[in-house]
Amino acid sequence: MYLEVKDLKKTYGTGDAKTMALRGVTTSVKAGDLCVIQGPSGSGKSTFLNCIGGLEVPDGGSIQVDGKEICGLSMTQLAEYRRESLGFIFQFYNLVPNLTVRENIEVCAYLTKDPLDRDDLIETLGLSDYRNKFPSQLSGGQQQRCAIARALIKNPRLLLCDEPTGALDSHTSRGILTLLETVNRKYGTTMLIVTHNNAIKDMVDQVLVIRDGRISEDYRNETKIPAAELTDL
Amino acid sequence: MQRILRRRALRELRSHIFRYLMLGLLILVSVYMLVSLLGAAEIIIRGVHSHAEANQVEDGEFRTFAPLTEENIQELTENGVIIENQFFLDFKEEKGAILRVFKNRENINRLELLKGDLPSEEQDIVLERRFCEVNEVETGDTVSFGGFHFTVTGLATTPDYDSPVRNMTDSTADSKTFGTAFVTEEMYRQLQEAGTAEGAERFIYAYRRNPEKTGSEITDKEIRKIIEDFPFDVEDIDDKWFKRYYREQTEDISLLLDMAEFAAGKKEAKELKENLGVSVHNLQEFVPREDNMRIGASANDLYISLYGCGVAGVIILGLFAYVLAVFIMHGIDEDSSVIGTLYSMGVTRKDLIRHYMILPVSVTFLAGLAGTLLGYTDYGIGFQMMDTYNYYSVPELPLIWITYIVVYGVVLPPLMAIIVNFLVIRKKLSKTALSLLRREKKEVGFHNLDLDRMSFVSGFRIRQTLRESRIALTVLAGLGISLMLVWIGVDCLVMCTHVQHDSVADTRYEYMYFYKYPDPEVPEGGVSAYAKSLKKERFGYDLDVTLMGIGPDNPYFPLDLSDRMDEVVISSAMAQKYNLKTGDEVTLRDEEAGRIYAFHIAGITQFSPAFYAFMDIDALRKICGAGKDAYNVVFSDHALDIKSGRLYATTTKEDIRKASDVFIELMWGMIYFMTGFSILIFVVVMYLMLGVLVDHSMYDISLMKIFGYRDREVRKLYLSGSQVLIAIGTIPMIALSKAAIDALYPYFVSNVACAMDLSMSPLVYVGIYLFIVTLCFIITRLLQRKIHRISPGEILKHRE
Repeated sequence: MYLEVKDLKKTYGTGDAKTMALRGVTTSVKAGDLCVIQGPSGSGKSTFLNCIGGLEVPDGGSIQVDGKEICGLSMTQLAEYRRESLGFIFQFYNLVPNLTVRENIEVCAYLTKDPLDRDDLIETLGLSDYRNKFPSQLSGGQQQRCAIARALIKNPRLLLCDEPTGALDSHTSRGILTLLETVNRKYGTTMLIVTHNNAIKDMVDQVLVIRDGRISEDYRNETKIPAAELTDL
Repeated sequence: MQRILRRRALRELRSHIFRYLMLGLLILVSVYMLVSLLGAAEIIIRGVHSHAEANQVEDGEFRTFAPLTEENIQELTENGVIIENQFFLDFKEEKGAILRVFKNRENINRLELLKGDLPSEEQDIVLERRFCEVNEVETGDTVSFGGFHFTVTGLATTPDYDSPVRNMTDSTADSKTFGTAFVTEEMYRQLQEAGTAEGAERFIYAYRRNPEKTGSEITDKEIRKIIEDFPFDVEDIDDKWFKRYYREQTEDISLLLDMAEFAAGKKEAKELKENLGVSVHNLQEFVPREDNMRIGASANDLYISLYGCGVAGVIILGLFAYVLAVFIMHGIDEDSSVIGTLYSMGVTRKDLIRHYMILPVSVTFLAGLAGTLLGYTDYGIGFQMMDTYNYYSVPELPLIWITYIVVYGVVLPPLMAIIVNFLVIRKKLSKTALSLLRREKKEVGFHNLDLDRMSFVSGFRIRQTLRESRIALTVLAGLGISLMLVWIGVDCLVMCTHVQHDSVADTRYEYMYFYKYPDPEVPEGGVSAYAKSLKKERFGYDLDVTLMGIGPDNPYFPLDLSDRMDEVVISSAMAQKYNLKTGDEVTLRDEEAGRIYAFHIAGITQFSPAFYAFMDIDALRKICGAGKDAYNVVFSDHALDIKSGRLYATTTKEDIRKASDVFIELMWGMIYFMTGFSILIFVVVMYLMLGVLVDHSMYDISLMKIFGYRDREVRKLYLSGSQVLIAIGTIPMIALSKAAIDALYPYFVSNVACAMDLSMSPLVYVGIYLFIVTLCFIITRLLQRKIHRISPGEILKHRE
């Protein structure tokens, strides 16, 4: 297994304001799998993703990524972990506004000695015509593609996507999901996708459903269909 | 709505308390300094003038060869002039200091007693305050001179010695070696008769106009004319040295005059006598109050401070207001979508402007109020006044509330904040609701800069620097203002150091004797010269310039002078002070004769102790109508045996050394103060602004951290660009600020009669540059902690 999570716990606040976001989550994801995490708002799915991304420090449990335990790492070690192994894609793209598409992609290329070919990636993601444009000059879909390129440039083993299509229309969402699928296939990247969108579960290898901080469903999707064929996005 | 917004302002204050506290403190310190300096200047200017008037300060004074007769005095009185003789004798007291002894005054330049009583008994003496302070003399102590012992009964000041310099040509006062003293009339007579004084008695008369007597105010020129017209006979003069001198001068021509009188009559003989340059009238020197460097010098010194602080305050407070505006702009950027929402709900821009004004106006008002109150204490105005008290002979002046200074301290900071913030905030809030909701950013001018061929880091830094250029420019503006303050201090130090070093280095003689009544022959071992004291105005101040006639073989001034009467070589001190260069024309004023002389400057010679215009001695003798062997100055490399009664003054190289040392001692306080204050401004402005830069990029930095960037790399990307811009910008800033202060400096020291060499070693510039860059480096390092505190999770809170 590439990712193994055991009895993961996370609590916010103290006293009356105490909220248990994760109440002992245990799961695992195979290398190169596309995994979707679903659940209602406030169920703890983003917290789960952030814990795996080393952005939140869990209160208990264990997270092993490629055999390496990340719980208990210092902030500096977590930064190194993110630098070496992870890619992030956000709902609102979070591009650096004063950098061009090319420069935004280079933000992450800079972090690795062996990045993917930038121009090839730009070509693959259909951004060739926009390479010198600034985020404000792009549509939502183009911005998200840029964010994906940025996340992929350092060829991460694990890609964490937090609502990657949350701010996009269905047509653009399909394009983005197709892209993620292509990347998954082409580069063998393990992907965790947090989403509210129920349709996405049909295109992935594994489905995790979190409710009230616990895994309520964890199953493999044996009838996987291509993203391009998804309906009701 | 405003009530809710006010609460929000309070929360904003709480969340950025450190930032507002620091800036508030800086405003407080600045206002405290400004109020202290302005208040001290205003209180001294007003106080010195009012005390001077209360003590019947003279309208002018004149010196005569011989005392005026009763008829002379009567004539002046009838013409609306009140006069009082203020004769004096200089004595060397037992510790070597010179005490200038006067009899007590009744009508003009009266004593302001600060402690004790006026002299009533023969052995009573009142001493000038500064002399007592420096020499640690108290009432009840005994001082001895001229063979007499006196008991100090009081400490006083007089308006005619506000700047207690021994000679009007002295550039600095040194109360360690000179002071004034006042005894009873009877005692003065005894001292006069004892003949133990240093040099001859000086017949000085102070005058005041008395328009009530005539119904109109007599002018200085008219008073002078009356005195010049007084009949004068050398036989009326008691001074044996004058009589001897007169005989020596006129021996050869007295026979000629007798023959002229016999042949052509008395009138023609008198004309001939005048043309021959022999004594024309009794008046030796006439100095109206405006030209008297001793009177009101303390107040004159502070006018620059008054104007300078007024302007500097507006600039400094303007900068702080802008720094506050940057904070607010950052807040508006953060609140962009909230503002958009409020706009869409019908809240007006006016409401929001008012809301965003609350903090800057409150902070500046409170800081200004606290600064003003602090300024109005002994630690503010009182402290600043000490500089004047420790140099000038001024009476003690109480703190008084001066409305405009209170308004300046309390109203100006919020007013500047209102103006600057209004202009900035108004523009910032003029976006549409939709644009604010979408967080649309205005593209900066260099937005489309093609950085394709640059490395990622360099390109990123350039983009980041351009994006935050406003902040970098504010830091540079702060740096410019700080540097100007630094230069005021450094220029002062440089000028004083040059004076200290060059004055001694340029003085080749050991003794310079100014004659009142020259010996018939130049004393053995001396080198003669002929000097004439003239005036030249600079920025409203009339300073003394000496036309120095020297011979071709003068070893102390080895100059190659032509024999032309319209050509001079000027001292470097004069060239610097009056901004003159070779080839210029210079005009000098003869106050006594009412003439103006124009000279062509043939060259400049390095001589910093005084303003000299050198010319051939014979040419100057011709100009002055003096005899072919006439001289009135003797230079020598050792002490000469000259009777003190023949001399006006003796200047030694040691005197010059002491005077230049005093200069630098006086200035140290100001140098420390200016440098310290400027560093404080620079550090705070730079820290706050770069801090805003980090805050402004918080989400981006958080994003970078999510990607795995280390703090060091984040600093390199976000702060190094500004650091480089500051490092580059510092170079022109140093040059521009130095040029600006060098241009202004002559105004600051317009009343100081000394050389003004502001050149300095390139190492000073390099040192200042390295200091700033190091400071910038330290501050960015400190800000790394701020970067470290930004959690990668920040970006996750960033939801539209």
